[in-house]
Amino acid sequence: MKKIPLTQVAPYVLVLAAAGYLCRLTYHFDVTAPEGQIGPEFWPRTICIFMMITCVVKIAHLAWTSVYAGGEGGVGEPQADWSDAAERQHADATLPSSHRRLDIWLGIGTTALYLLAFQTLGYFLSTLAFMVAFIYLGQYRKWRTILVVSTLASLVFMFIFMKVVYISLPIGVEPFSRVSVFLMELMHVR
Amino acid sequence: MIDLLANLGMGFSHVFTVENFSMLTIGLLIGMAVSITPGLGLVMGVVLALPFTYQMGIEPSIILLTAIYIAGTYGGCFTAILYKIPGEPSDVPLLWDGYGMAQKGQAEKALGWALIAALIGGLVSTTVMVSLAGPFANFALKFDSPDFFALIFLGLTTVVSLAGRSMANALISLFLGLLISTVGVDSTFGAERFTFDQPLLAGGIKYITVLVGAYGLGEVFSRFGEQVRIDHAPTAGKKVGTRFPSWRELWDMRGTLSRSTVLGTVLGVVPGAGAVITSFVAYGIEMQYCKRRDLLGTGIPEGIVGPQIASTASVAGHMVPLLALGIPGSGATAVILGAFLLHGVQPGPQIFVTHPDVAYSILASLFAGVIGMCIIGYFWIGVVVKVLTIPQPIIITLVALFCVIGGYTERNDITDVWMIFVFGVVGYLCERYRFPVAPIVLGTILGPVAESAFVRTMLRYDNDWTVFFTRPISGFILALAFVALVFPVIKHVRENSRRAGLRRAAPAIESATHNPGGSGH
Repeated sequence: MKKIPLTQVAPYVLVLAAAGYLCRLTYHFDVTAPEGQIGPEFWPRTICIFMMITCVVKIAHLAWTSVYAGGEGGVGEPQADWSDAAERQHADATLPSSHRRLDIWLGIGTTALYLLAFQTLGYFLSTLAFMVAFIYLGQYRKWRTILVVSTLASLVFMFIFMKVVYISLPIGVEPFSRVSVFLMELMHVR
Repeated sequence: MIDLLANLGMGFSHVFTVENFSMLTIGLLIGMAVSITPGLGLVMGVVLALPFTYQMGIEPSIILLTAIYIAGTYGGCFTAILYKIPGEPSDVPLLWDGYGMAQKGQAEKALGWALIAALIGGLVSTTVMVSLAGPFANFALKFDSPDFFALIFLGLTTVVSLAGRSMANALISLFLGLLISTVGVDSTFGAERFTFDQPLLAGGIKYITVLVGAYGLGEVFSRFGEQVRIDHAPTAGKKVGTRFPSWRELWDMRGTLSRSTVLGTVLGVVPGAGAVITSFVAYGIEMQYCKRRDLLGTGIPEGIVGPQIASTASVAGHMVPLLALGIPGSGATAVILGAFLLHGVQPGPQIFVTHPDVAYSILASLFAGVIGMCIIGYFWIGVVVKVLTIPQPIIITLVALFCVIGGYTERNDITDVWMIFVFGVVGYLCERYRFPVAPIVLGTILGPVAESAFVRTMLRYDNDWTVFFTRPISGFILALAFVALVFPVIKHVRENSRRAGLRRAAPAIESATHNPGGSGH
């Protein structure tokens, strides 16, 4: 008899808890249904209930297969399927290197910093800094190419959005806005 | 028939206006580029182009997105054949024989076969589906709200059941999408749902943020730090072209051509059976019925023609039900449905009455798109495959930039971009823990339509839920949905019992192998 794999079960337990919480919230909506009719809570509550049932069935299935059948299915072990086979082969062929989770979280953090700086530094400076950092963290190390591509792409995007599509991208606060205003003048953006 | 031809003629006249034709060409080029680039894919191409359509009219918008979708089913064959890199999962079957032919020095011939297959599959399937669009729409005009709910339900269940991996994960993803669509003020009763007293959530979560976040930024995060190498390919560094098969060779291929075209068209209509499934099933059919089936996998044209025809043929199979019934059968058509809704047009049987010019322009653009992508594929293949030489980190950074600015453009509001970021992280976590993203997106788009049809039915029929089963149309559609849900479960149970049988048999086989004389000596 084997132990139930907690790493496989954990996502379903989390989803189950979240669905349970949301289901509870449906009892506290500010508008209730007229007598004898379904109300605004019916649809989301039904979805939450189905979600919980799916999680319970999956957890039971994982427990059953790990204890009695040697473990299969679940989050970590996908089942065989046409599309599954395709995705696996696709991944095998295109992704020779292993996932570096720390790098990925660094990438996510860099994107969050970019969004934080977007309105303070303005579109151009924040995008330039983001592109340089993101490409570098993405394991590309040719500095000259990184700088050229980042500068050109930031300028091209700025031109397309501000001059062609008329989108008002943030110019930033002083003193960073001076850079944006200077570039806008160069591009004849009003 | 005359009406259909007249309407199609009008559609073609719209397609060949400067604006629409430019969008068609740009769409085909983008479709080629994204399907060639590993890690992007045609759905992401359609998603990334969506924010740029805000300022356009409905016709050029849908033509642009449809062109990306069509070209996306074809472009990946270049890299699969030349570099053994499938741009799309649907190109995986092309690796076995396409790359095999390239290794034998027949890369140009393999590309010629892929082009012919895409052309035939695309044109035949589009012709069949366009001629069925009218009858489809006329039939759908008889639908009442229970029938519409049943139809949406069928769309949701089949996509889930065909999602692959774990059905439970796909269902959870779908429920998550449906729940996301309920956030905000409910349209029927005016109740605030799951807003947590945040004004940001009171307006609801726009599906565009889910689309761009989960599909676009999520994929960027998942692919972060990965590299693709192409220098091992037999054709790397060489100039490549396309060589067409002779008429004699085409005649010899008639069985594969007809089988795969029929298969791609028919499977295309089934919601959820996207290009991936059709191309794999077509390859499987060839393994059973092709004359040279013993040679499949060693580098013969049948292994290219079957999957390529089927995957291109599935596009029309998906687009016509989207237009005539309003039901998307794949990730890409779900995004295109989103584009329709963004422009305030609900696809469905009424579109042929209220917006016939739009409907027939899109149908005409399918024909033009198939021919256009083949022309681009023939002349510009050398240029198009150059995309592969762009380092992956630069590509994903540009995609991330598209997602961020694309999200900002709708309302010039940074909170929209933060929402996209949140869904990007959700998309990455889904990928990490193997929950498919497509059902989330589909649930977010179809959720409000499904809820509205359901609530309308319940209010009209005095909460009598049996009406879904007693009306012939909705009853039949729900029966199909039931089959779509139960079939994979039965398949899974049978597969498990087969595996269990093999496990039980393994020790006996092993002992027999180690002890060939048996126990009788």
